[in-house]
Formats: sequence, C-alpha cells, structure tokens
Amino acid sequence: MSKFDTNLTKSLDQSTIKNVESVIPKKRQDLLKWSGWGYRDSKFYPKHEEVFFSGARYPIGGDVKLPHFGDWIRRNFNLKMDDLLSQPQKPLEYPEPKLDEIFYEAIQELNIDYSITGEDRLVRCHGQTLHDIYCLRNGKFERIPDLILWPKSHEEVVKIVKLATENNICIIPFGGGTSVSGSITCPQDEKRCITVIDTTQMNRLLWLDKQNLVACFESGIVGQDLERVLQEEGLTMGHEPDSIEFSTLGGWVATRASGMKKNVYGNIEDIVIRVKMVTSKGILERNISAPRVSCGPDFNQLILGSEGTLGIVTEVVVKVRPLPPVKKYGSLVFPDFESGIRCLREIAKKRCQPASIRLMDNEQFVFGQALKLDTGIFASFVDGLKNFLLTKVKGYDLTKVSVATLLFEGDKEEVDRQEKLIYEIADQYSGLKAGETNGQKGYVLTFVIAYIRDLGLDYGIVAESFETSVPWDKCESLCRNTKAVVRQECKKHGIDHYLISCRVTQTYDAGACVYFYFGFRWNTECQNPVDLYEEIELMARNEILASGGSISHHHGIGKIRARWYKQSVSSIGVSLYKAAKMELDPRNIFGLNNLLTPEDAIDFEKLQSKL
Amino acid sequence: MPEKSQQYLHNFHNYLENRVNLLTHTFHPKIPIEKVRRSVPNDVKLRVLQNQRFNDYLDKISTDKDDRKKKVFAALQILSEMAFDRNMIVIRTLGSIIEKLMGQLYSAVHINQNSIKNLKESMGNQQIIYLPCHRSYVDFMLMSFICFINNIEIPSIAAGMDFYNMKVLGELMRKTGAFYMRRTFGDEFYWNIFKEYMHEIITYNDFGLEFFVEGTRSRTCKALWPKLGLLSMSLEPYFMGEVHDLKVVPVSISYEKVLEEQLFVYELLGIPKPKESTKGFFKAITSLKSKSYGNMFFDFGEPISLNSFYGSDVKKFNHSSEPAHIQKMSADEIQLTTDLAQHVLKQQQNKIVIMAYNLIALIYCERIHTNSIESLTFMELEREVLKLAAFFEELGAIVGFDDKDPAKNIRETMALHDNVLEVTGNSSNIQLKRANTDSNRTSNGNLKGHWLCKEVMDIVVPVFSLQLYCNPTIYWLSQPALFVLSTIGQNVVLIDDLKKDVLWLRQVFIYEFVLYPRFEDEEFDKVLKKLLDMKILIQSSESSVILNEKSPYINLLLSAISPFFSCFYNTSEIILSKFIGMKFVDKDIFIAVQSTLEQELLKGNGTIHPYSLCLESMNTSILSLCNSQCLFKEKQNCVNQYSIDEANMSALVNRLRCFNSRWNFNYKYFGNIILSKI
Repeated sequence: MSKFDTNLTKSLDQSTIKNVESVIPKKRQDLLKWSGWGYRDSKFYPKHEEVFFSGARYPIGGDVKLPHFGDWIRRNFNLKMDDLLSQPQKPLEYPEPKLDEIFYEAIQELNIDYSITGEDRLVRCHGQTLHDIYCLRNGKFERIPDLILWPKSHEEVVKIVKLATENNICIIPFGGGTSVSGSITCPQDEKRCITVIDTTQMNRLLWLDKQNLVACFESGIVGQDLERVLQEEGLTMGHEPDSIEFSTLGGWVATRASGMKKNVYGNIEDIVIRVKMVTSKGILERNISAPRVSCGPDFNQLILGSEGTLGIVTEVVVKVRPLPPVKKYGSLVFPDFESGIRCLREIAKKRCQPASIRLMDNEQFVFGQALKLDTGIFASFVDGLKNFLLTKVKGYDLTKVSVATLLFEGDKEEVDRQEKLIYEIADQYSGLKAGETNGQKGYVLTFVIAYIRDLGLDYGIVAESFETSVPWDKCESLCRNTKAVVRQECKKHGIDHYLISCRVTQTYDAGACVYFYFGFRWNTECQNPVDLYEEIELMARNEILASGGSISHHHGIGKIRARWYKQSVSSIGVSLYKAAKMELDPRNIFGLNNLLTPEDAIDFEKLQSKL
Repeated sequence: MPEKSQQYLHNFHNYLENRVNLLTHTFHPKIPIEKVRRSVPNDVKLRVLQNQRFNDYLDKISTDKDDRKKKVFAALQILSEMAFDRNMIVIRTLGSIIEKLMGQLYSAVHINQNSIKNLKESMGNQQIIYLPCHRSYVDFMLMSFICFINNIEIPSIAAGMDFYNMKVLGELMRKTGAFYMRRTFGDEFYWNIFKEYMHEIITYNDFGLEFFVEGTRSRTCKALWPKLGLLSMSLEPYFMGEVHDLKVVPVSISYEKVLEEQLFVYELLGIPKPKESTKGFFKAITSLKSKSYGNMFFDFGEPISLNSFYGSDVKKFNHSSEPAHIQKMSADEIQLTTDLAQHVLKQQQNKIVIMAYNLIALIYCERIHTNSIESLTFMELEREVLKLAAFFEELGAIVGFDDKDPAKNIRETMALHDNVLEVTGNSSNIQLKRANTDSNRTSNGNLKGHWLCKEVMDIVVPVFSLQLYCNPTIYWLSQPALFVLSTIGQNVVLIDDLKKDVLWLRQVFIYEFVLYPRFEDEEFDKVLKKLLDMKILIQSSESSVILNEKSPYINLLLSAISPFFSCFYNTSEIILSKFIGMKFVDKDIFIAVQSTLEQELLKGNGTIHPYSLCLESMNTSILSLCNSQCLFKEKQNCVNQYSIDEANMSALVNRLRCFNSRWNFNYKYFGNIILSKI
C-alpha cells in the first residue's frame, strides 16, 4: 500500500479555537423530520378544510390559519382537504448492519463516536430528492448505511479514511443531508460495509483573522451556526443558500453551492480560499493563503463539485466581510415575465445588482398570494391602493404580472444609490415600485416553501424543483420551451392537475439562473408517481439543454443528472475526471458513484487486479 | 607557550591602554537591521496594544466593553513596567562611571578587535540576538559599554525584576535599554503581553536584543543547561516567516577573578544572596574599589545566521499558509531551538579564555587526589602550569597567560587569589588558606539547606572558591574524563561497550556538564579520536581500546570530575537510604545530604569531596535522577514533590558504585585539616 501523504503538519494555537454549539443535535431525528424536510415542529397541516402552519420558527407559523391556501390547493389540484392519504410510519425493522469486524473494532479502539442503530442509519441514507423522500415514506430503502461515525477533527477523519482504505470500506461523507441530486443517497448495490462519516460534530471555528478577513472552519459547521458565530464578531460570510438552516460548509464546497446574496459575497467558489480534503491517498490542500495565484490548474476546483467521490472535506478557509449596516428590501411589479427578464438583463449589464434580485413568474406570484395572512406584512399585496394602481391606472393584468423582489445591503449611501439606479432602470421596462414589505415577504417565505412538498405528498401530489443556468439571450425562450414541454408531457400522461412555474433567482454578466417548480397530482392507477415525475423531468431537462441551459446551476450532478455529464464536459472531460478518481481513490473508498453513469463507471475490480 | 592561543589572542587589545572619554565619544552606531525609519522604544510598547493576537486575546478574556477597557489599561501599566527606553545622557553618564570602575578594578580589559570588525561587517540586514555567557553582573554592563565605544547599536537587554526593584538604578538602566521580566509563572495575562513585546522587539525594533541563554548567572562558573523561554519567543517570528533571518551572536566573557566570587560560594552552600538594592550596589562597588580583579577577556563569537545554521532543517513554508498569530511553534521547531541554544553554549565555551589560575586550581586538586600536595612547590607548579597549558591547547581551548615571564604571571595571579591558596614556607609550598567564617552567620530560617558548623565552613569556603576556578575548564575535561572513568581498571574495552558506558555516564551528568543527547554520537567520535591522538587511549584492535596507564593526564581528568561524581553519588545514596516510600521536597534532600556529609567530613572520612555539599550540584543531580526516572516529580502549590522509584534508583546507585570502585577517590587531605582544627 502506498504511503498516506499528510501534507504539511500544522501547529495551531489551541487557545484560538472556538467550539460551536450547533442548533442541530447529534441525534438529528430528535429535531428534524425523519421522513421529510426540516424541523419536526414545523409543517403545513389541514384542519376543517383550511391549512395551518405549525411551530413558531417562521413568520407564518404559530398555528394561524392561512385563509387562501386551501382555496389555492382546491383550485389547482381539485381535491378536498380530507382526501388525506395515510401518513408515513417509521419502519419497525431495519436492515441488519453489515459490519467489517476488523474495521469496526479498530474504530472502537480509536474511541470515535459511532452508531449502528437502525434509525441513525436510516436518517443518513438519503438526501432530499423526491425519489429519496418517496422511498422513505414508503419504506423502499433496502440498502442503508451500516455504520455511522462522528469524527471530531480532521485528525480523526484521517484515521478513519486510512482504516477504511486498508479494509476496503465504502465511505459516504454526510453533512446536512439536503442534497437534491441523489448524491448522498446510499448506493443500493454496494456490497461492502457502508460507513457514513457524519461531519456535524466537527464544527469548530479554528481561527479567525480579522486583519485579512478570513476564517477557518471545520467542514461540519451548519450554515446558520456559521453565520451566528460570525455575526457575534460583527462579520458575515454572506453565503445563504435556501438550505442554510441545515446544510454544512463542507457540503457547500462538495456541491459547488450558490447563495442568494452571491452578487455581494460571491458563490462558494469565490468565498473559499483553501480547502483541506482527505483522500484515500492523503491530504489534498493548496498550501497558499494568498488571494490569487498563478500556479497551474487550481485543485480547489477539483474539490469543489467533487460530490464526495474523491475524498472528504475537513477544513475550509473562507473569506468573511464586515456586517453591512443597512439591509433593505424592495420589490417591482412588471406587466409580464418577459419584461421582467429584460429589466434584469439591463441591471446585470450595468452591474448594479443588489445583494439579491429574483423575478417570479405569474404562477409563483399567485402562489405567493395564496400564502398570505390577513394581517401583518403578510396581508395581501394587491389590496388597497396598489390594487387600484395595478389594475386600473396602469392597466396591469393580475393574471399576467410578474414580480421581482430585491434585497439591498451596504451602508446607507450605497443602498440609496443602488435603489435609485434600479428603479430608474425598472421604469424603462414598465417596472413599478411595489414596496418594501412585498420584497421582505418574498425572502422570508423562502424557507417555508420547502415544507410544502411534504403536505403535497400527504395528498398524492409529487413536486420538486429543478434549476439551470442560461445565457441572457436564451433565457426567455428556455423558460417558455421548458414549460411547454412539461405541459405537453402532462397531457401525454393524462395528468390533469399540475403546476409548472419558474423564476429567475440569480443574474450574472452573461446569463441567469432559472428555477422551475413542477408538481402534479397522480391518478389512483399510477403505480409509481416518482418514476413518472422523473420521466417528465427528464424531458424537461432535455429541453433545457436544447434551449441553451446547463445541467445545473448549483444543485450538482449526483446520480439523477449523471446522464448529461458527458455532454456537458466532453468525453475527454469525463476521462479526466475518471483519471483523477483512479489516482485519488483507486479502491473506490468514496463509493458514492456520483457524476458518472453506470455505463461510464470505472471498473474498480479490474483496476485493482491490474495494480 | 601555546602558539595557536597566542595567535588568537594577538587580536585582543587591552582597552585600558587606550581609553575613551564616554562623555565626548561620537556615537554613530552600526544598526543590526537598517530600515527606512529608525525604531522608537515607545512604539515597541504601543505596537503590542495594536497587535492582532493580543487583541484577539483581549476579546476572549473580556466580559464586556468596559472590562476590555480596564484590561487595556492594565496592559499599559504592565508595559510601562516592562519596556526599555533610550537616553543618551544616561548612557554616557552611567558609561563613564563604569569606565572609571573598570580602570580601578581590572588590570586589563582585553577585547577581540577582530571579532568586533567581523560583527560590524555582518550587520545591517537582520535583527541580532546577542547571547553572552553569564558569570557576573558585570557581563551586561560590559556588553553595552563595549557596543558603545565600538559604535555598535546598544541592544535591548532582558533583565530580571531584581534590578527593577533597585530604586534609581532600575530606572537608569531602563534608559540604557534594559527591559524587565517578572519571574512569575502562570500569570497568563502578563506572559501574553511579554510574548508580544518580545515579538515586536524582534520584528519591529532595530536595536538588537541581548539576553542570557543560561537564564541566570552561573554561580559555579560552569555552563548552565540553556533555558528556552526567551529564545523560543525570539525565534518564533523567524519560524513563522515574519523575519527572513536572524543573527545570533554568542559572546564569551572570561574573568580572572569573578566579582561575586565569595557571594557565589555562600550561595552554593545554601546561604542566600542579599537582596539587590541601589544602596547595597553602591556599597558593594565602593568596597571593591581598592581591589584588583586582574584580567578580563571579551570576545564576540562568529555571528550565526539562522538560515545557514538550520539550512534545510527548517521548513519556513510550514507556517506560511495560516496567519502567524494563530499558530504555535511545532515540536520540531522547539527541538531546533534547543539545538541552537546548545550550539550557542558550546560556542561560548569554546572562546572562554583559560587563564593561569584555572590551571593552578586544577593542578592543586589533582595533587589532593593523588595525595601529593605536600610536595608541590612553586617551581614545580610553574612547570606543571606550562605542561597543562599545552594540554588545553591540544584539546582546543584558548589559553591566555603571559608566556614571557610565566613565574611572574603565576605569582601575580596567586596574589590576586590569596584568599584561597597561599605560598608558605622556605620551599614555597602551596597551601589552602583556611577561611575564618562568622559563626553567627544567618538564622536557620533563611538557609536553603543545613546549617553547617564553623569547622566545616572554614575549610569548605576556600575549597569552593578554588573549585570556581576549576569549573571553567570542565567544558574541556568532562567528556574525556568520562572515557577515562569507563576504561580505568579495565583491560581491553570494546568501543561498543565503551560507548554504552560513556552514554550512560552522559545521562547521569547530563545537566551537570551540559551534555546534550543530540550531540552524543558526534561528540563520542570526536573525543575518542582526540584521546587516541593524545595517547590517553590506545587502539588495541579495530574495535577496541585500552587506557594508557602511563598517560600523565589520567589523574588530572579524574580529579577534575571527582567533586561532581562525589556529589551525585552521595546525593543518590542518601536519598535512597532516607526517603524510600516518602514524599519529599528539594530542601529535604539538601538538608539530609548536607547534614550527613558534614558528619562524615568531621569524622575525617576521606572518600567524600567537600564540594559534595554544593546545592547547585545537588540540583542538577535531582534533575538527572528525575530524567532517568529514579525520582518522580509532581508540582504541588508550585513546589516540587518527589518520590522514589526504588528499583531504578538502586540499579543506578549500584552502577555508580561499580564506577566508584574502579579507582580510589582520596580527599584525606581535606579530612585531615578539618580534624586538625578540631
């Protein structure tokens, strides 16, 4: 066996390390749902033909009636609130853990936290794809991890990986479990012992350098913990993916995540300065902290988006910024989605994007209205004077309008200047200023939307989002074409009740990120609605690619988009990835099998016999 | 007369023959590291408060903003106590006084002009750390003085708080560059500030830095095991890549007679030194005035560039990828720091000038050992001194005495030390001069050990005084002596077996003779070769040697280490016989050993060397016993508590006994004179 390369050994001053108390407990199922998204105490639920949201974590919670949501559901999906399907039941039995004795004993000797209980293993066998959740709810997972480990430091991870390599154990790095690409879903045909390395107990702030505004965190820190710790110091990293409550820094790196406020803070690849990744051959790390280097191919880029197949990320050095003194919301209403897109394009051209700018199509606008409350900032947007302005004075049609939400950050002068500029540009595209509270509402609802799918599944509605990035010139046509294909497919499959909608969530110099939401209610005769969903999504993705869109803007490839990987990166690109995989992990210890289709997969047995 | 030494000493000029007026001397110093702007002493202090690591630390320990403000204020107060300053008027005035005193105290102040030229040529591009050996308070005054008259920037000097506590003088010395370090442990707040202050002295200040790597004055006039604290603080910015290089300059200062001689003797016996006070200081100085302290030699060693000393051993890149302030030195780097400290110590020792009186002291001790002291006449002494001078030069030492008229030189130096040895009778016999110690010396409370009776004290004081002049030569003699000890009374010895014995003895005397384990292979080979060259050992086959019983140096070498062997052996035996199953502290050992040995000495027991009463040697013995796991040490309320590992301890004592039985120690002479008095 070749020697494990430890890279340079560091001697950090232990007294600068800050332990972080995570919001998410080690036994994650105590706080989080085992069969769906988010916190256990937060969910949509029906009562007397109305919908409520439980828990006090979100602004629409507190078990207050959502007076318009029930109507919206009835209208779009033609069902009654008492058409509830049976609720998912936790399994009574779990597959026996398949343990490698030598490895298992060695782990115990090393005194590393571990578990082999069924529940701990089940809640870490999946991500959050529709497929994952459907399988969970219906007890369809046959292969779940055999052993869960909670290392507390990089050094412990190194020990585990070395041991796993010696004993041919399959390792799955696991952070927040929010993947929507199937990337952390347990490979169902894996014969070896599957060990999940749960990184969440490795979540310290190792150091903070206020002079250079960089911080070094362990990879298992959860997004909300990371921001809380930094904000106590008057700093922020500014990376806010919609999953920030649950996803981890290491996961962001491994999937090439993107955050809502990337216009100010950048995407994860702009924020990350250095990454430490433990591979089966040793530690890969760029040993330079300088802001930019010309130093051959950048191997940080090999780690970013490796989706757990090349190694496990243990420590990350990131840029941080002083907290902005002013945070202000805004919104714009456009007569239609297309003029909205043109306006966003112009804003991008002038490079005056605020921290976040998002444009919703009419379906989403209407859906947003359905979540309104009767009082507070969630009261209806089209009420009162605005209603009058929109429908009468300007002649806007409520069934066609689209809405942009804006988030400004910076000092007061900067925010004022930005606002002025944006509203001037909007004016040229018939964009009407629609107030701060509407903007705020849009952003606050971000975290709630993810809970809707679980409600849908209770009623026989399957739903999922998928995203892409596209050049500006093809943005409008891509949205139009994709929606058309979805509608056509639904018709083909006899689906009467569905929803397809999209929004632009990010803007760049050369294009935008587009998000689609698609859900439908399946007929009673449909055997497997998830297969049907995936079939339609496949057609949609084909159309996206044909329309000039990309395989993914930030969700990643995982397993469900592997079929388009080759066409996205070229055959030589695939060979290059495979070469890296064979070099770093010739025994496929990190055996998640992401990125490559089964046809393209490396034959590790053959590779082993050659070595 | 030794030729090489003469050549080397040719570069030394006697300052007193060409004196400088310090009040009018133009001072355009050469700067260790030339920057765009000269550093300002006050800024060194203020930069600590701006320092990132210190600010992070303040954030960590402060409960709120008000608390932080209080802590900043406290830090400023500590810094005011600590920081050095610069005032040319004070330097000139104080310098003039020291200059006058030197003229009165010393007959010659020899300064190596070549080494000054050499040093100045190497200056300008990196911060310099001066590391003098420390034998006397005179050391650092001399350092500053010599820098001043030679137009070298006067370094900042790390000084103990005892000077700070001397009213006016403490403040005056601050203005000449002294900064003060508390000798407290465990005060995290204080040490964080001190560490950052050292950091700024290395990275920002351009004055150069001076401290004593031995940590304190060596009361025995032997090298002390180096302390790492200040050195590792100084080297940290280098390892962290904050400075490109540092120059370390070992400084060797040799005294024919040490100012503190009698104070040291009493301290070594456990009678505490008087507290420093300005009044006491001037009183001491005025009482010195009339006396002469003979010759003094001052020598800058070859400047050591860390880059070339460490070469590829130091991986400066290791720390470059993280901010310096969140990193610590690695274990490897602490090892490298120790290597440097040990290397510097050797460099200091190499350049210590061995003078006539050192040789006389050795010869006298050898005669006692061979029980032939009565036959030592002045004439014979002169012959022996010349022979021994050649011997030391062959070992590599610099030997300095007047070769044109050795008899005169010997007479003068004997006169200088007439409190120890005297020449008596018609045949000019050399005799130990009994001291007349005050029998009401101190109350028992202040003693570190046992209260020794006057009969013993009167003999022990001159014996210790004499030993102080043997000790500077121990650096050259200890290792050859261990070879002799390992081969004496044996027939043919396999080199492998010899090495085992020598390495074991090195372990035993690791702290006493400063025998750094990482040098053991290299030094073993070197000493073996030297002893073969000098025909002290004879190669009997490729893999074995035999001691040349006819070599004239065997007794000299054995007698040189016998006081230390005696102390270690007796200390170990007494600990083993008195403390099994007990918990005990240093003082228990001191009292047990001193009181037991006092009784033996009073009985005239000729197997015990009076130097065995030396607390410093007991200390190094205890450290060594802990190191070889014969004793276990645990700290309780800042006091070391010991317990015995009986098996290890008995094994060690047995092996020592075995070495002891190989040749006959004999100090009957001392016993006899004690008995004669009673």
